[in-house]
Formats: sequence, C-alpha cells, structure tokens
Amino acid sequence: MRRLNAFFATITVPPILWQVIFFLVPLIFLVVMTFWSVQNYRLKPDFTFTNWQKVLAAGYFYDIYLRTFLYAAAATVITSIVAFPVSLFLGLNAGPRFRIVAIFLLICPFFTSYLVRTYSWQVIISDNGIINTMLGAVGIGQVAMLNTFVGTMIGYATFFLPLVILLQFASIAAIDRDLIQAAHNLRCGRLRTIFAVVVPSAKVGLTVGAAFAFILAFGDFVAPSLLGGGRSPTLSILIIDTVKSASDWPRASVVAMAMIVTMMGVIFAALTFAYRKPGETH
Amino acid sequence: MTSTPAIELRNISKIFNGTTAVSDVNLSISDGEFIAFIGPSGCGKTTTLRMIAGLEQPTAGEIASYGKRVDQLKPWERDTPLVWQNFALFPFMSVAENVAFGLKMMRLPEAEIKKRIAEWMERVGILQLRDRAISQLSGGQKQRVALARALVTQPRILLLDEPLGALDAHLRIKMQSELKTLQQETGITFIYVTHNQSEALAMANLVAVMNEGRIQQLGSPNQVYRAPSNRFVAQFVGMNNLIDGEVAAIDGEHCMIRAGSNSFSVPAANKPSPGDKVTFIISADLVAIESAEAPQRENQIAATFRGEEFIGSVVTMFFETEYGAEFKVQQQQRAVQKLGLKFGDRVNLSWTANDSFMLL
Repeated sequence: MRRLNAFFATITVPPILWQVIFFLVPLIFLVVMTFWSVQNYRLKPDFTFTNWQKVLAAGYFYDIYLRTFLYAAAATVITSIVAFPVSLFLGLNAGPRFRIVAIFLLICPFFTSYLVRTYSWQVIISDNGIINTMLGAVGIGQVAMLNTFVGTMIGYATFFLPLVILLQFASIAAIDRDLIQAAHNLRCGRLRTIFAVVVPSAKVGLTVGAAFAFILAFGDFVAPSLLGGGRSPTLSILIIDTVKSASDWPRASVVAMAMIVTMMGVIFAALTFAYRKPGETH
Repeated sequence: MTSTPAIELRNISKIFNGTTAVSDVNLSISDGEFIAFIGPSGCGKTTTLRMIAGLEQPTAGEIASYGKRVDQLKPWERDTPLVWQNFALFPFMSVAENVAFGLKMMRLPEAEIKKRIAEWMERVGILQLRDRAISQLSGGQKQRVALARALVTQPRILLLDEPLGALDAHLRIKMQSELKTLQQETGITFIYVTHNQSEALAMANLVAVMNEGRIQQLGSPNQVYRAPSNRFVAQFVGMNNLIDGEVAAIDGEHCMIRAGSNSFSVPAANKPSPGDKVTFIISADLVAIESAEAPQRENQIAATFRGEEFIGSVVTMFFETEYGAEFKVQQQQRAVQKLGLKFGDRVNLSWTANDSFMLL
C-alpha cells in the first residue's frame, strides 16, 4: 500500500508542482499586484483599490473590452465555419494517404514563427501588395485590407485556422460511420445528415476548436497590431501600452485579470456545453 | 398480401476491390414473408441486406420492391429501415428523439409524431424510458429502441442485421419470440440476417443458406434442416454426420451404399445408379447408441467414445469411427446419464434407414 502511494506521488506531484510554480504563483502575484501602486515609474507594494477604480471607471476600457470580445467572437465563428467543410472532407471522405498528407500540411505552418507569417501577410494584403497589384491588373480598384478588420481576421486565421481544422477533423473522423448510415437509412439526406448527425456527434471537437479560437484571438497581440493597424486597440494592445508608456504594471494587471476571468468563463461555458448529456435539458 | 414480391433480386452481384462478396443472386421475397439469411461470416448475407437498403451499390443486377426498381435510389429515398447489430442509436439524443428521428425526416406534423412514437414505445415496452439517454440503457432496451425507431415509420419491409447478436443468450430467446409475434401481428416483411442457425430456424418461414456469395439453399426451416441440398448446407445447418460411399445396389425405394467396411441402406430419393459416388447424411439427434455386444442391425457402425459437450439439457457426444474422429450423436442429458459411458468405451451406433438422407 505504501509502495502504491509512493508510486502515485511520483507521478502526480511533478505536474502539480509545475502548475503551482508556473501558473498558480504568478497568478496570485498578478492578483496581488493589482493592489500595488506606482511612484516615479517604480512599483511600490501597497494595498489600494485605485487601479481597479481607475480602469473600471474608464470608458475606453469598456470600448476596448467589447471590441476584443467581438473580434474574438467573429474570429471564432469565421474560422469554425471556414474550417468545417475542410474537416468534414478530411474526416469522412478523404482516403488514408490524402489524410496523412493533409495533416502534415496543416502542421507545417507551425514550423515558422507566427510573427513571421503575420509579417508576410503584410506583403500580400497591403495597398501595394500582391493581391492589390493583381486586382489592379484586371482593372479592379484598390481594396483596403491591411490595417482593417479584414486584416485582423486574416491574422487570426493564420494563427489558429490549422489548429481548428485539426481539432474538428479529429472528432469528425472518430464518428461511428454506422450512425451516418443509420440516418441515411431513416430518410435523412446527405446535407441534412451533416446537421442532424455529424455536428452533434462531433460536438466536443467543434466546441473545443471554437474555444481555442476564441482564447487565442482574445489574447492575441500580433494580428490586431500588425495587420489590424493597432488603431482599434484590443486588450492586449492596451496592456502593452499601459506598461510601455506609463510603466503601470498594476493597472496592466487589472486588465490582465479581466482577460483571465473572461477566458475562464468562456472555457467553462464551452466545456459545459460540449459535455452536456442528452435528456438533461428535459 | 399482394402478389408482387416485396423484394426481388435479379442477378445481383457485388464485387469489392476484386473480391466477390455476392455472386449472381436471384431471389423473390413475398409480401409478409419472414426470411432469414444464414451463413458463415463473409458469405455475402450482410452485403445482400445492405444492397436492399441501398447502403451498398450492386456491381451488377437489379433490385425491385413491389414491382418498382429501387437499385438506383439513394438510401434515404427507400422505405427499408434497418435494425443494426450494434443498434446504431444516436447517442446525442434521448430515447424519444431517437424513435422520432425517421418521422421528423418525413416532415410529419409534430402532433402526429408524438402520437406515433408513444404508440410504438408503448408497444415495445420502452415508454417509461422516453427521456433517458442512450448510454443509460441496457442492451435489451437499446434493441427495443432500435426496433421502435425502425417500425415507427410504418415500413412494409424491415431489415434486421444480426439484431440479437449483441444480447446475452437468455434475452436472445425472449426477443426471438417477441420478434416473431411482432412480425405476425404487423404482417411486415422481415428480412433477417444472422449467423445463428437456431435463431433463423426458430423464427423464419423461409431460410436462405448462403456461402461464398451464393444462395446454397432456399427452403423452409424443416427443409434446410432435414433435407440439405448440398454438402455445405448439410455441414452448416443442424448437426449432421456425412458419409461418402458408392452405390452398390438399388432396391426399390432404397439403395445400398458401400462405405469402408460397412454398407448402409439409404432412401434413394434422387435415383442414383449403381457405381455412383454419393454422400449421405445422418443427423446427430437421430443416432442410437448401443453396447458393442448388441445384436447386429442394418446401418450400424462401431465407434469409440471420445468426448462430450453440454448445451443445456442436450449433450453432444463425439465418437471415433472409421469415418473420422468426430462422429456426432446428440441425446438428452438424462438418456446419456443412463448409458454411463466412459471415454474410450466401445459402442455400436445405428439409425433407421429412413432417417438418413442422400445429398444430390
């Protein structure tokens, strides 16, 4: 018995220790810091609610929060919808060899830094970039993409579209084919089967894919600043500005807290939705 | 009953990547029939069923249902619901939602759907489970949900693919009689696939024995059991002993067959001529066991007791004879006890001439 306990201790203690040291402790430190103050650009341990009051009273905070939330939500919906037909084809129709090649190609983008990939988009979508040059050649005027909402969305997709496809694909490929055939057998046509059987069967993968998209977009700094132009700031841009221009770590921590709480709420909601059992709503 | 067949298979073949699964099958299934396809795995029975459902496209041939060609229709355009071996219930729906699925697809009014699903859930005894999740059901309950889901659409034909395969033995027997009753009450044509011959013989009025993609015999349970049409059917259905020999003489209704050191009298149903190589069978349950000292009879062979196997109250005993090491005799357990045989005991096995059957 004692040996068994020792065994479980050796396998469970390291990850717990890791979580505590690298997640819980910094998180607690972050919370603590929201109550500190800054004097002459220097941090001073304190216990004041000023940071919270200032941030939560600022109108721009809510504008930025709402924008970040909507951007992330839009990115979630767009990437999920764009990814779905691809995942569907890979999961249900593609042959085994095609699948392996496709998975390899989906992993490839992660070989290079996200930052590099984002910069390369600037070359493609800027006003004098590849796309606009080609559009000009066929007589279509310039379409502004860089430093717009479209640019930000392209950046987000660069960041996590492959990941969303992989997550969706994995759960679609795991669907019991008999269920799809059973639906066909009960007069459910091909398109209807996708919504009646495939989507609910792959619910966990689709939801986790969407949750990842939301979290990554919500916390991302690169896409909104490099492709979105940074003129419509998001919360991560706000944090960077707060730290850079004012060295106000405590106020940045308050913004960070708002982000962490939001993301936790979203994950919790997503997981509750993904794992809800049938019949529980009745 | 209509006179046009519920299902007609005309020269149906199916080839998967060069492997022939079904080979030139012709079959007409009457309306209201309970037909069972039996055969070993890979014999083509499930493929045949799946072609009727449209889940598999025949490589060649035509399928008609009530006089109308259906082989070009998509599965969802056909009216042949299937009960799956693994049930294939939708795990993300409740019991009632599963049963309602087919009706929703038919776009029936909500009130009609409610009425019909309640009716069928009541009929198969799952009404009290209506709001349960599928994962909370036992195998038998899942089977009933699958049945209700298929029958609620009021089909004229029901396809069943090893529907009792995943149930335990006790439940299987119970469901057998329920299925049989259900078929008789509804008059729906049942097309039933199983590898379990006792299931098929107990329920169906018509049995199609398949092997290597072909129908080996089509007949009543009694016909395939007592009068197999060839060697395969004789070995697959029932428990038969096969003896190969040569016709020595013909004597009216019977002929004498020489096989090894014995000669046997066998009904000469198919008019053989002397010198023909033939095979006859004797069913294990029609063989009598006597002591080696008993008086000589016709159709008797010497044997050594080698082993036994119990299935309920019936015992299968294995004897070594000059025709092989596994001559089978089936008796009631009580009768076997009275004999008091030990392994290695020498006995005589015998049977009445009219109980043996010559293969064509």
